[in-house]
Amino acid sequence: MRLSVCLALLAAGCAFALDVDSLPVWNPDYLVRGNAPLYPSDTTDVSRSKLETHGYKTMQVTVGDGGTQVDQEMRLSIQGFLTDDVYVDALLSDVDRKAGDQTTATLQEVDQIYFRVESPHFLLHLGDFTWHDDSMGLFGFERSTLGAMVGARAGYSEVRGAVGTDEVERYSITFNGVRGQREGYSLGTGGNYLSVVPGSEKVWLNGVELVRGKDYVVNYAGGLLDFKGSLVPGNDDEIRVDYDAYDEDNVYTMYAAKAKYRHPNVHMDVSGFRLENDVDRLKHNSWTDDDYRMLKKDDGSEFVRDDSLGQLVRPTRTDRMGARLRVQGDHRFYADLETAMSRKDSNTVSHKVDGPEDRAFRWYVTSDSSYGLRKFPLAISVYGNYIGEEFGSSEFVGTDRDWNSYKLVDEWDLDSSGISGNLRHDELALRMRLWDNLFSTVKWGYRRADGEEWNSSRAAVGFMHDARLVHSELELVRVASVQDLERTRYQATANAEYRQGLVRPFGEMDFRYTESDSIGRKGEPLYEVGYGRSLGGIALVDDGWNVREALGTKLAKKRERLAADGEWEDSLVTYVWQQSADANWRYLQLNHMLQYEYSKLEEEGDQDAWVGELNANFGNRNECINGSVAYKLGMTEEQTYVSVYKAVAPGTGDVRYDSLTGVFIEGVDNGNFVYEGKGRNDSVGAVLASNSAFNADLEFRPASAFGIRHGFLRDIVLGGSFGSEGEDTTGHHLYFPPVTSSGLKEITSGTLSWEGRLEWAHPRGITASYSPGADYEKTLSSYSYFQETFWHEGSLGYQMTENHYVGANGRLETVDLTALQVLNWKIRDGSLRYRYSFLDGFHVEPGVRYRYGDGHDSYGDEFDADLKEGSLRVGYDRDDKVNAFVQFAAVQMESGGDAIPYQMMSGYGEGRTYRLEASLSLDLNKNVSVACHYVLRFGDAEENIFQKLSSEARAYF
Amino acid sequence: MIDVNERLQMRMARDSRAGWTLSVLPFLAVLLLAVLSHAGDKCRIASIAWEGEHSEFDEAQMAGVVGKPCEAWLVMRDKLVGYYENHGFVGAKLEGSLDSAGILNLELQRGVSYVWAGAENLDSSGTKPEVFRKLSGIEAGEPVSLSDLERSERKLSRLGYFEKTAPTRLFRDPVRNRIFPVYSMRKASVSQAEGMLTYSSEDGVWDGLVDVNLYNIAGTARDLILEGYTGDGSRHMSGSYKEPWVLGTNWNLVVRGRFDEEMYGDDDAVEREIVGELGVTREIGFDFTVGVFLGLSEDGKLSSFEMSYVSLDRFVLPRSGWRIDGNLTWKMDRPDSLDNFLKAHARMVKYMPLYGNFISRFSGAAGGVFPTDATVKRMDLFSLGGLDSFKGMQYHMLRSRSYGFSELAVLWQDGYDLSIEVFYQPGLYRPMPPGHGWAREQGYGLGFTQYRGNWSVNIYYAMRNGENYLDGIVGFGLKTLF
Repeated sequence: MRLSVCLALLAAGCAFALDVDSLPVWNPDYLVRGNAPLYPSDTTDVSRSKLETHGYKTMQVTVGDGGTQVDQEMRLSIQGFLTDDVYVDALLSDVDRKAGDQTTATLQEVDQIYFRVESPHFLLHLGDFTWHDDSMGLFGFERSTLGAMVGARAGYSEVRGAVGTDEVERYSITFNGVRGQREGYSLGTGGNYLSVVPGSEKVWLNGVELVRGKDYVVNYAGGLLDFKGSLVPGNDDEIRVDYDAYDEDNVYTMYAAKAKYRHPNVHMDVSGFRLENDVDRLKHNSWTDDDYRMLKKDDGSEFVRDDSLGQLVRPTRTDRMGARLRVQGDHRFYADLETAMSRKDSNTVSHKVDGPEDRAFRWYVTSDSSYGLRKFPLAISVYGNYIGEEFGSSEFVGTDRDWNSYKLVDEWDLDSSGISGNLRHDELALRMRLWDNLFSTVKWGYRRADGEEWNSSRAAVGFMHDARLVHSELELVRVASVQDLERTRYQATANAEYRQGLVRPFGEMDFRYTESDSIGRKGEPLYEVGYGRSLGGIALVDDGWNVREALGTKLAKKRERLAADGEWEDSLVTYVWQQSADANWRYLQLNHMLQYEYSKLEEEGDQDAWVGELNANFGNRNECINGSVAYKLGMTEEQTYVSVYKAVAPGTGDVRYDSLTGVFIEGVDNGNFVYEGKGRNDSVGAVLASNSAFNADLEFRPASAFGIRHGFLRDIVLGGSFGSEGEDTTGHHLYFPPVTSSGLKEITSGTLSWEGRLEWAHPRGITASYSPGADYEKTLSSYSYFQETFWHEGSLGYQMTENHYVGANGRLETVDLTALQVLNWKIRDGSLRYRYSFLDGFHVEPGVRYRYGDGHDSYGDEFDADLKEGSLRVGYDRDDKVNAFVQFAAVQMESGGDAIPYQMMSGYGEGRTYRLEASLSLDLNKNVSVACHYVLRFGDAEENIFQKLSSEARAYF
Repeated sequence: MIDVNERLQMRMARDSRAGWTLSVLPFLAVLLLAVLSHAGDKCRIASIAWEGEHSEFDEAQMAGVVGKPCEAWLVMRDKLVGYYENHGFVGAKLEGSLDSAGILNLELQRGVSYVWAGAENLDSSGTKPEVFRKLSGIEAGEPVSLSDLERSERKLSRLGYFEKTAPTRLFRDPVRNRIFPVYSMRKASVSQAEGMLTYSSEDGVWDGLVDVNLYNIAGTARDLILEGYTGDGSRHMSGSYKEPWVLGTNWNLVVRGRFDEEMYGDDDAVEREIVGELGVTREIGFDFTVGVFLGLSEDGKLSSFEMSYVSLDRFVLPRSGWRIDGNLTWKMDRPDSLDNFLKAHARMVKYMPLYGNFISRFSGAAGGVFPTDATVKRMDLFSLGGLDSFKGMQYHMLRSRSYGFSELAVLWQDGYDLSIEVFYQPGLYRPMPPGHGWAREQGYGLGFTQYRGNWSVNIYYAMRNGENYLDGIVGFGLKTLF
């Protein structure tokens, strides 16, 4: 095309000759803004990509008396379409890199990084990613790793492959619930601290996989599991959690691939992975030469290091591969066939050590897989699997969890720990449609080891009625198993539920009768066991709200078989009451859950367990009343959270440790620590604790409540808040957190605080407020710590004109502290200030303050001190963009040489202190802001001249 | 009727933007025509007959077409007309007709000559008008040259000070034979400043970084660059300042200095270098710059000669053109323990559009210290590693007496603000003792650059010599531009 145009141009002899007369005439007025003639802009130069980079960068520098502290953080995210169908997503996040070497880092050193390009036909992912493979029934694989993943897709086929390296270890734990404990299940062994890879966990409750965020949450830093909603596992509920946790001494390399073909009638999957320890890196980073020699010589026998170092873990390799075929015809015939193999090398360094290797198969064939059996009222299906003994079905579990321990006990009377040999399971099932929505199922299944060391057969007949309004099921089961004992169980289960309407009753029950018989063994007491469980209730459901009430029982009785005086004895009696309510209305948002369980156990006697949670918000700030209430009750293994202070370069922090009282004091000039957040108090260890918390906040405006238009009451707001939290590890049950200080003293740890508020604001510019309050705190630490603070605070203000303001503050505070020392003191503090604003943003503010404190210690030694302060502040504020001030204060403190608590005189020493504080915060534009803060202290009360400069720059883009 | 300015744009676009793909097309066309004409009926120009006023120069120029195929004179005509267009006669026309006897009748209408008026700018350039005129490279009073106009537009675009918002247009003076080149160049955000400085009184250590790049300070074409950092075992600080057109001449005065301190070896030996240099640079034509510097360091004197040729199409994410820099430094008057030496260094980059948004970049650099057996300090050697040299190495990872590398990169540029590239960089360097001979170095990786509003983001990931990808380098730069 271009060629032809050029040829045409040449042939026509088009020489370029400028017709100067047709040029526009220059007019110097064009240079005046807005006068320039408009020409179309050069669009090629201003075209912008649809890909956008966003993120932030912050840099904080604090220069203190003894050193400097630099903190940097950067996060960058790139997202958008490269072309119409190529999508890019990338992220880089880096924290705490030193200023000097910020330009480069190796891939491992960067906190999080990935780059992903995706189109309908291909995928490339570099950096951090999670490989997720759940295409197989016999095994599954999920791993968070750092590496590369590629994928291609065409037609019905898709292929993906990945290589990655990580320093995580896969854990799988199974435990039972604790009655009354909904939160704080420790995932580590022995309650030690764990760093779980975020998002790597899978949780099953009684073999049912739970949904992250909805059914449970995991506290990844620490490894604790909290159940949510109305899920409260009890003693007979089995919880299984698989997760990855960071482990620096375990470098793994992962190779994984999967392919799938998805024809409407044929689904094919092939997938596999290899997970092995990266011997080169371990040799380089973790192992000593001796370790390596020892690993090479390993012959599978005892493997203990000579020195006192920790256990040396053998480098391993696991290979798994599987293939699966699913075919369907006529939307009813269906077959699912799968095979898998597993091979493990227990020490990849040593030639003398090999590992287990085995295969597994699984099949499912049915004549009608449709739910309603619409084409033919009868369906036959065959299900079965064979799992080799060395296959290792408990690791890397797939979607078909046929041999999971809960199912084995609950349905087959088999104890998973006693199961050995090659596993076989066969099942034949018949499903019939008897009536329009009425179905019946007849099933017979048989599980055994190859050599019949144990077996179990299960026959069941079931009926199901599934209509739009009601769903009900009934099933009769007989299970006969031979393991340690020979057992026969007869079971009936039923459930029914209304699915529509305002009132929706529901109920379920499960009755079992089990006989056990010895297999020729003498001396074993043989029992008949009867077990019954039922739960019934009612749910009210409407737009925006629902209420659910349920009552349940669990009863177990047993008697010795063949005994002459065989009497039925109670072995377990449990009653459960569950209540939940949700409402989302305009003036009230409520979320409530309460569960009570009473149980009488043969061994443990009577037990009560309560779990509850309530969160409510009512009203809003424009209404006469608004507030919130929150209440929580339960048991937890979660250790108490304590404030964590990070040591920084001396003088650069704002928290200091007062050795006299043994407490950390926040908000000081010359600190050696900074507050880092709340952390778990690991020194205490994980113990089951009873825990309860209550918080309430209320605000009341009489003017809107009673329609008052005039007078004092018109301008008044009354308010108050109350907060309390308690925890007890001594076996005492807390149903409500302590409300008095003596109540707080009786439990292990907790806090209690309350505050009242009375505010008056007259339209003429006069304001007054009064608030009494108290704080009580008891912490669990190596020494007993209890602090009581009680205060009254009042303030008065008068905005005389637009530019003149005068205000006064008074505070009376009593502190009783029992820590390293026992100290009681009282503070009276009063201040007065005047503010003059001028020149659109500037202000001058002189002020005076007087503070007097006196107290005594446990030996009766008294101390007192007073403080006089005069200050002048000059400041400038503009449109929230510039905020600057300089404040100079002269402080005279007299204590007569007594040792006083640091807080009592706001951290000032005996004598005279001059303090200069300057601050500037500036928003350069909508993306960049800088702030600077400087403190200078000198005078005869100070040992040295103290200076601190901290600056911070923040950029968002 | 197409507007004159639009025809001007068409011509400039034909000449420049399309790069080599388009520029070779006319030659191909001529070749094709020549082949076609040879293959068919052999029409040839027998002689030339001139009409009207013309010069011997014109006759000499066109004489070459005698005996050539009939169409060949068109190419010569364009050349001649182009000559006049670039020498003030912007309205020059050459008309011709070929009769059956093969006689070419030519008539040249040269028209009146025009001179340039001072360059003007319609957009807000943030630059003083007289500075803008100087930067444009177009001198008032000189004969109008359309190629200079095009070169000047490219020059302004690659300075970095401006962003072109509309095509350049010509205006005429109503009373005199003057033509105004009128640009639409908006001030671009390319300056940046970032800094941090801390001092610990406890161990008396300064720590920090400074990165200030101020271009076109207050619209006066003065540039100030300051860079420095303290890292583990090394400190670096360098700065340069350019005062343009000193004393009204075409020479720019440049002052620059450098401070380097490095700890090396097992015994943490410290080596330090402080250099101050003063020099002049000047532009020759639109693309060349030369510079001469004289300097002092704590252990000698140095003089250097620098040359650069830049024909990139723009400053931010160029798509076509060259950049070649050469530098020769002679360091003399050294203490007895050290030798005088010559340090030579050159680098080049060539951008070439491939297809659509794909662009290729070839680059290479080489440097050496001569004589090769001269005794020099560690600091006198080249510092390798980082974005400017071997990307797969850590920043300033090693020192070398001589090195060279070439790089091939394929870039994908979206719009004018985003670029994604893959690069392969083979190279060689002389390792420090006890190493000897040449060490091979291979780097390869991916890069990403985006300019968005007042931000520029640059990330690259580079690996070297087949090392584990976990040890690959992630380099990142984030700049706030103003």
